[in-house]
Amino acid sequence: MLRRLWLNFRKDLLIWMHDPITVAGGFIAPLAILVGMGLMFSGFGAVDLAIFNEDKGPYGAQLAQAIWSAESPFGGTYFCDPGFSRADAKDCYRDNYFMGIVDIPPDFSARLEAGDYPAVRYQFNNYHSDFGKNARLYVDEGLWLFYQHTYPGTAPVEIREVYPVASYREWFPSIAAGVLLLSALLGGTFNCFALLLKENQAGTLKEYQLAPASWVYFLLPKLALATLVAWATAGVTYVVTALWAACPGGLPAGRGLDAGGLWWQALLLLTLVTWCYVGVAMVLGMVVRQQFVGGVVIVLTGIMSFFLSGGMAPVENATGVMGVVWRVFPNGYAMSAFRDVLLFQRPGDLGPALVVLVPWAAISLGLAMLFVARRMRRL
Amino acid sequence: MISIRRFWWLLQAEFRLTRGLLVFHFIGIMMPLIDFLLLSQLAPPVTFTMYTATDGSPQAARLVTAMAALRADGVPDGPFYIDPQPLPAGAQLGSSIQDLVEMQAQEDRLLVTHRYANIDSNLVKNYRNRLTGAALDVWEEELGARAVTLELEPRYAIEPSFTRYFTMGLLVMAVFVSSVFIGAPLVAKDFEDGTILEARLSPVSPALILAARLVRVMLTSLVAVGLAAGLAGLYLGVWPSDGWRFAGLMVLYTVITASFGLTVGLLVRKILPAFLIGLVTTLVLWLVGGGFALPVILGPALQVVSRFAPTTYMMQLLFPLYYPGTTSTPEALGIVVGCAVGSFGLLIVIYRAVVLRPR
Repeated sequence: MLRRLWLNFRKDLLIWMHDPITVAGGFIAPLAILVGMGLMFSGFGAVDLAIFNEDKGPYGAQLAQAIWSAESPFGGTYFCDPGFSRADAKDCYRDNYFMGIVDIPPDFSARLEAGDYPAVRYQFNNYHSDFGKNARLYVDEGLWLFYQHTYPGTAPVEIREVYPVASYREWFPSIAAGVLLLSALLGGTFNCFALLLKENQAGTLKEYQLAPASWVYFLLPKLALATLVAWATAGVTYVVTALWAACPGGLPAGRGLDAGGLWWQALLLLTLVTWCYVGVAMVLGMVVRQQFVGGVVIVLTGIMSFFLSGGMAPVENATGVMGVVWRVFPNGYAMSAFRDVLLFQRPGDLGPALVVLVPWAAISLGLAMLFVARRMRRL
Repeated sequence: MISIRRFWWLLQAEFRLTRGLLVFHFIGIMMPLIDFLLLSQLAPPVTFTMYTATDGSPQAARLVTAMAALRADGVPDGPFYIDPQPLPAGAQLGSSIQDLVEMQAQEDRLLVTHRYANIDSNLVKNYRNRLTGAALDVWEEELGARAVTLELEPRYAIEPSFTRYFTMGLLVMAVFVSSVFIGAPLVAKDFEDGTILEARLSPVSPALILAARLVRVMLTSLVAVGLAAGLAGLYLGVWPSDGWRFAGLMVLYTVITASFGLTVGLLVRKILPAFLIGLVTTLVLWLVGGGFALPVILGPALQVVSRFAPTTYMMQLLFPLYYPGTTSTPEALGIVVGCAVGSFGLLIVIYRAVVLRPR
């Protein structure tokens, strides 16, 4: 029995090695998302804010420094100094490349010392309410720092923060964890679909239909190979993320993805999620006649599942339509535990994830195998 | 006259090809709409519910009042940022309560312990910023004339919800996705099926064949963007302020996107890779060009890249239509026209090289 399984596995492997391009289905879209999101969000929070300080005293410079140095939970600062001239800054602000411009007048320090309503002019972009809110509140963080420095010991409120984790991660590693899961499920499903399609197109499926051996020998090796390819594609994404983090200007040391000794938990979760989708790929491989149709369906389903089930940010507490939609995809149930393992090296809360994913994968694979078996019996 | 009739027949033949690529048509037209409906639900709320546990002191009451009063200053009827709620009896920090602000009055100050339950740093940032804003107001009230006054000058007189901007992003995406998802596989299928030979052997002018295909893809994209604009209008009540200008801009933009889609198909000549390359390019250009958020959030390198993306300038041209009272620069229109001419010219060059002079 094992020998027969091995022979089938080896045959599938040879087919795959003959045309390993099928694995590209698991790479291209996730890597595009990874690179796109990395470029957009790896420096998240540090948006350009031009401050033109004409103050003759010391407080203008201190205020500018405070605004630029206020730190976000993402690890970096909210603003950075673009170092532009006033004319260039105005052009950039007009073309939506700056969040805003702060003008500190010449009499700022004098009025501050005199207690005569020191004021600064703040032009900011409020193209939607969330951005407008950030523009106002980020500067408030800077003012808070400025007051602490300028009026020490006078704060009527002292704020302490208690986090559930030792330190927060930037947005990019959080997204990268989602992309890792996406690349595994795309790699696995695409491979399984492509193998079945090839057997269908080459006519070898007919031989299996005529053979007396059980369909189990036909499908189990494909599931095994799909799982291995899923691990491989996830591994490549993992390496790319690590390289990204190591780049100059990437992430601080230890802030990328690292499962540590809990790698088996990460592997378990991504395997289960992949299996939830492999069932669909098996059905597609038997039904679809053209590779591009199945390929498109798989890639788009994967990408939709990434965006809608917590690939960008946790969705467990989403309300409204999203509170329902994320539950349609298995990824959402794994993401929380997956991020715990990969971002914080702490044991994920596997229980709730397994309660959903194990039956989901079992039902998906069971139904798909039954479907394939029925089709194979029908000559 | 004969040319016009031939063009009309060719156009009809082009539309009949839809049957062979139904999946791509469905995805190309429907995907942006579905994405829009679902992602518009992801738009972050402006008002956050923040749970408070106070000791009943006047200092705590003062901070809670400041939390409730924190709002978008500088615009009429700016929304409030915090909805402070007392912690329900028996409730604990956890799944349904994401943050808790505990207040305890001390001799000379109020000690606030801000506890978070989630690991989402973006949410934590939002909660923290709001509490800092409220606490700052309390401090400034005490400082009186020594406090720094921010003379706020918001760029837009109205401060719309995220979905208004997202509508513009959707429209740009709808045009691009439909053009690339349909145009690239349409050409690639000719190569895969071998029907490209018919174009090579046909006595009909190659310019006519190419024009028919280009117009067919452009028309499909215009239908897609029309549906998207209609959906945004009906669903959100967000309509362009000048329909004719909007239509003109979209026609111009479809020249760019349809040319690009056909060029990808000509260069790749395989349906699935053409689709994947189209998908990746669309995503990247959409993100870099400000379809999801303004280029202001991009890093310095990507800001430079965004200046080379036609999406960036198309978004700039759409601003006056969706943000009344704003204007776009003539440079943006010039660049989009230049891109349209350039992409069309490139398509002709590649078509001649690939179809008319095959190796």
